[in-house]
Amino acid sequence: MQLKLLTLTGTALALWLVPLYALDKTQPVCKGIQGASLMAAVACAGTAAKLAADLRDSEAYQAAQRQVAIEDLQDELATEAWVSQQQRRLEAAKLLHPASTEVGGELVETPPNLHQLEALLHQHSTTSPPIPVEWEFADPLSPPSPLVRGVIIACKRAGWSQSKTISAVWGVEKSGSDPRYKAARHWYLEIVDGAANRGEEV
Amino acid sequence: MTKAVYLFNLFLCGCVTSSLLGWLASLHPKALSSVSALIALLVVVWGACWVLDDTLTSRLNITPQDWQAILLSSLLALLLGLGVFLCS
Repeated sequence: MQLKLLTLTGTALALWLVPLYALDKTQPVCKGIQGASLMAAVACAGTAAKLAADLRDSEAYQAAQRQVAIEDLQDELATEAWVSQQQRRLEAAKLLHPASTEVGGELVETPPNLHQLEALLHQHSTTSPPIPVEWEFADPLSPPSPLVRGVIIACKRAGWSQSKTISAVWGVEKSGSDPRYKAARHWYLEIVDGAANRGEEV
Repeated sequence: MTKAVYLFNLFLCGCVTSSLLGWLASLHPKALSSVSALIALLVVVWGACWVLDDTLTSRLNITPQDWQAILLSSLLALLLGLGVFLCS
C-alpha cells in the first residue's frame, strides 16, 4: 500500500512537470498532450490523497484496538494479582486462627457445637455427685451460704436442670404460685449468672 | 508519515490544478479571460476567508491555526502551479 502511494505521487509529479518542460507549447499536438498529462496528474494526485487518508484511518483504528487490548490485559493481570493476594491473606489467617471458618469472604470464630457442650457438661457428672452426702435442705427465703453456692455451681456443671437443682438444694418442687420456689429460682439464677459473668466455667 | 503523504498529495493536486487552469487559459483568448475571471473570483473568496475566519472555523470545527495553514498553502499551490506553467 505504501509503495502504491509513493508510485502514484511520483507519477503525478512526473506527469505535471515533464510534459510542460519537455514538449513545445506552440505545437497543437504537444499542447494536447500537455493538457492530457495535466489532467492525468490531477487524477493521480487525488487518488494518492484518498489512499493516504484511508491508510491513516486504518492505522488509527489499529492503534486504538491495540490500546484497548493492552488495557484489558493490564486489568486482567491486576485482578489476578488482587485475587491471589486475598487468597494468601485468608490462608495466613487460617494458619493463625485454625478454629475460624470463612463466611462471606471473612474469617469468623467457629461457634461451639451443642453436642460438644453437653459432653463437656456431663464430664463432671461421672466423677462424683454434686450434692454432698446427708445434705440438709437450705432455706430458700434466706440468702444462700457459700456452701450452697458451691453446690449449685457443681449441679450446673454436672448438667442438672434448674428444677432438679432447686429440688435437690432447697427441697422445693416446681410451682408457679409457691413463693418459696420463686425465691429459690431467684437465688439459683443469681448464682449461675454471677458465675458466668465472672468467667467461671458453669 | 501517512498524514504527511496525504497533505503533500493535496498540495500537489492544487499545484497541478492551477497549472491546468493556466493551460486552459493559453488555448484561446476567451479562455484566458474566463480563467482570469475565475482566478480573480478565487482571490476574492480567499480574502473573504481571512476576514470571516472566526465564523468559518466555528462552523467547520477546526482550529484557527489549521484554517490559516489551509489558506496559505492554497495560495502557495496556486502561485506555484501558475509559475511552473508560465516558466515552462
